Amino acid sequence: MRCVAAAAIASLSLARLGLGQELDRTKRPVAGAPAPFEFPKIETQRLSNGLLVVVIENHSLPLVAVRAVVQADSLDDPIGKEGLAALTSNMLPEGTTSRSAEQIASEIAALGSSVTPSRFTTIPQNLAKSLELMADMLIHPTFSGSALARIKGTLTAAKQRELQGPSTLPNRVFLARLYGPDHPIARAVRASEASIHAITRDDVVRFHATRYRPNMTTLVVVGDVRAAEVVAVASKVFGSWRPGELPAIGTPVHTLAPTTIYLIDRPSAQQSYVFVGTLGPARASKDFAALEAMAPILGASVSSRLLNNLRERHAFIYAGLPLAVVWRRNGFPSLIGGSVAAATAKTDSALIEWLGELRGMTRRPPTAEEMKLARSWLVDALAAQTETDDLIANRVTSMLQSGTPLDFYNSYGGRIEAVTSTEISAAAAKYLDPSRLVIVVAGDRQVVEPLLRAANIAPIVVVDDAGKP
Amino acid sequence: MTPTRRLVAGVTFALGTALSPCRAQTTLAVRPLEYSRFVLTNGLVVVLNEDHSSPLVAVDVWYHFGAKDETPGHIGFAHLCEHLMGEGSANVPVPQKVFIQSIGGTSTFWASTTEDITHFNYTLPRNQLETALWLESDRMAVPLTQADAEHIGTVREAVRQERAQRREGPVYGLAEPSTIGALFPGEHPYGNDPLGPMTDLNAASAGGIKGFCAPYYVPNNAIIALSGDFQSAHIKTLIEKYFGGIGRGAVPERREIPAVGLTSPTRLVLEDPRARVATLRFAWPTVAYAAPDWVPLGALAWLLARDRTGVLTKLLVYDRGLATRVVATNFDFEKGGLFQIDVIPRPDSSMSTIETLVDSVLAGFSAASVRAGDLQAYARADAVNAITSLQTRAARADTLAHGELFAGDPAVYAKQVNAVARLTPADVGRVAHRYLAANRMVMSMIPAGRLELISKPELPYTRVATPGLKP
Repeated sequence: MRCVAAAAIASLSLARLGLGQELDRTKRPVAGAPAPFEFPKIETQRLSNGLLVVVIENHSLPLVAVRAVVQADSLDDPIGKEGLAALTSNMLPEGTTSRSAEQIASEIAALGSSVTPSRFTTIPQNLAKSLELMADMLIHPTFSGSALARIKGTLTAAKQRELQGPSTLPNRVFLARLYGPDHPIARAVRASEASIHAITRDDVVRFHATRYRPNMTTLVVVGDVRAAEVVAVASKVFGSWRPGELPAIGTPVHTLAPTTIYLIDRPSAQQSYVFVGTLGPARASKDFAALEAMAPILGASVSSRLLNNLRERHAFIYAGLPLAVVWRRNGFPSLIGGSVAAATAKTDSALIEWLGELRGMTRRPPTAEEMKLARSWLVDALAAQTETDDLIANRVTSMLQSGTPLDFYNSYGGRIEAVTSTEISAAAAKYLDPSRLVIVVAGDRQVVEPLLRAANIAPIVVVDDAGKP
Repeated sequence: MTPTRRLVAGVTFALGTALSPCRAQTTLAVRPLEYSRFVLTNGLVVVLNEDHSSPLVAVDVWYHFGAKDETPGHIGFAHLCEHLMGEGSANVPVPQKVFIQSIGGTSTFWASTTEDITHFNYTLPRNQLETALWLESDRMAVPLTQADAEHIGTVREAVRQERAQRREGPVYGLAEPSTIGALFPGEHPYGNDPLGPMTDLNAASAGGIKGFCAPYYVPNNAIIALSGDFQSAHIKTLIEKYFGGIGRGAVPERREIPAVGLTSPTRLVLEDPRARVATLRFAWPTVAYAAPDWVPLGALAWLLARDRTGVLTKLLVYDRGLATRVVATNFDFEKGGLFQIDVIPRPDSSMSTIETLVDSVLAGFSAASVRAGDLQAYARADAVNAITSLQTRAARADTLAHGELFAGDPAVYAKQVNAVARLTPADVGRVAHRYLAANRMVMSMIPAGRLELISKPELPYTRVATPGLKP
């Protein structure tokens, strides 16, 4: 783009003057009424073998998003065989009783969109064929031994790469201290070379035979389809799948230790990865809505107290999610907490401010403006958060995985609107107990430890990468 | 907030297009998004895409100002100024994203600075569109109102943390600036990392920053793209009302973009003390988004590295078991591009062997390497992707603005997708031969000190300086 001729600037400046008289930029426009939000209509049908088919019709675009939700994720890995669920699902495209791995790959390539055993998004013309391939992979895998050796290698390498991420190990320590080292939530992020190596083909075959069953599976189909047609195709491709018995799930119980800082040494690191959290109730709790509304006010939204303090006011951090409420499945306790990357020399200051804001949530109940923020963040944004078939399918999937009833969003907006400021500060007093926090810091010990000791925030335990003192 | 490089083609083709496939047996034609376009007398380009299927509107404001406009002494200014432009404006007393969130808006990234552009992108309820236009026009009318010493101090610290988090923080995070530094050497405009080193920013004054950046934030250097639930005629009136009175500015003359092409192979070694796995990268300079060869280069990336059946993936991952993953991508800029292949070896594989195999595949790649049906499959994949990747209004607005700025045609993406259907094996063979030549960059990324792992250690190489990374 070139410089503009002076004459043109002069003549436009006159136009600017003329318009400027009419427009008062200090006056913010008054918005009209918002369109009411309604979660898209969900239709469900259970096939005779127990497979639940969930259909959400949306005819705005020629698209369809499909998810197969099997109750076989990393939370179901047996102790010592962490990685089994991932390995099993990665093996499904490696050949079925009627198709070789290469045949599956070339049939998928001909469709022009990918199909995995758990998901695909495509044009409606590809739906039937994609479902057929998905069903074949889910129901009839052969688990070839040579493919298993390769996939174990790939998965091990992926875990090695994951360890390169600066927050991977501190996150493992954090979850193990919160939930207890043998809790499924702590073990779900802990697959290692050793645990993957320990998995045999028999383990994979048995895991598949036990957990990949239609009565424990939900098929979610969102988009430009008719529910009846989806059910017809699903009956055809999934009809021969035989139901099984759902294994019982034990829920280990863990008691939180008094507040402690677990310090992992990262020599010369420019930033400390800091995790702060505690356990909260399960989603069924009567405090659900209060905690849900507290999150954006305290730490989950860009205008929250914690981000405003740590980032906008002090520039201790660039970004992070210092507080969210993560609801879990199976009645497991929720996690109330989060993490940030803080400048090394400000690790202590960031932590002091952070804990101050947690205490402040009890003493300073949300203002009217903060209550408005929470409602807008949670409710007004739902339309954008369910804008596409993929977003809707992902949301329904996570509802199924966390055991949330499918009619959850019918009452969600009303529950959030009904929460009061007093209820939020009461929930903060109840759950944000400053004496029961888990704090993990991965940073340059030489710099950080003296700072943290001087700040006298909590006892410090220096731990290794595995979280052991 | 987030400097990103636009990913345009490859195994994870991120930018695609259109909403109505016209059914054919194997090929699908993509019908472009419907849009209207007009230009205000002050030069502001407006592109509108109406969609009434959901009560939402995406707002996307592009300024033609990125890292490549930074002259020596001003490295990092475009990104810093993006942050300053997000700190509020004359009549918006809080950071814009705070304001937008408070009226129900969301975004996956809010703002981004690339080599070529700065943009602000979010989606909000339709009843708030006029408020968003008021906010964006206030930001444009008097840009950088918050560029005072205090804000600059805070923002500079945020930018420092962002750089640490994206460059020094991740393992091999310096690979990206090292790659563009090798392909666009010296003071080439595309050698500037949008997250560039802090040296110039530390030395800069408020006046210096404002003086450099402000001339770019003018209506004749901007595009506003909207996608969603509105009536175009009504919105046109509102845009005239809020933006029409903003005066043109004198945009600094663009720097020449010298042609590039390596005159000899460049071999780099990037060490990282925290790394556990090595990676081998090959990179070549290619062409801009609007260049005719961009389309066959995208096909080439797909043919080389798509799942299981891609030539390199099949050879390295499945037949020879030397690698766990191969990724090929053709990145584009406004006036240049780069083709990149990353191979992640298995822990016990030799990267020298991998390099020899990659070289033999590329040297032998010709029209005959393209198997029957390959290009039809790619055309179909590209068309399906064009449909699935434009689900969000934010993506549609972004695609239209991108086409307008980089090709002078908001819906050019649909033409690019439909051009794939006309590709011949000879086209793909020709670009492989022409662009993926022997003079390329090869970067061995290794755990620090493990020089025995690098590819072809007998050839001369340069170790990338990694200040800030210590064992």
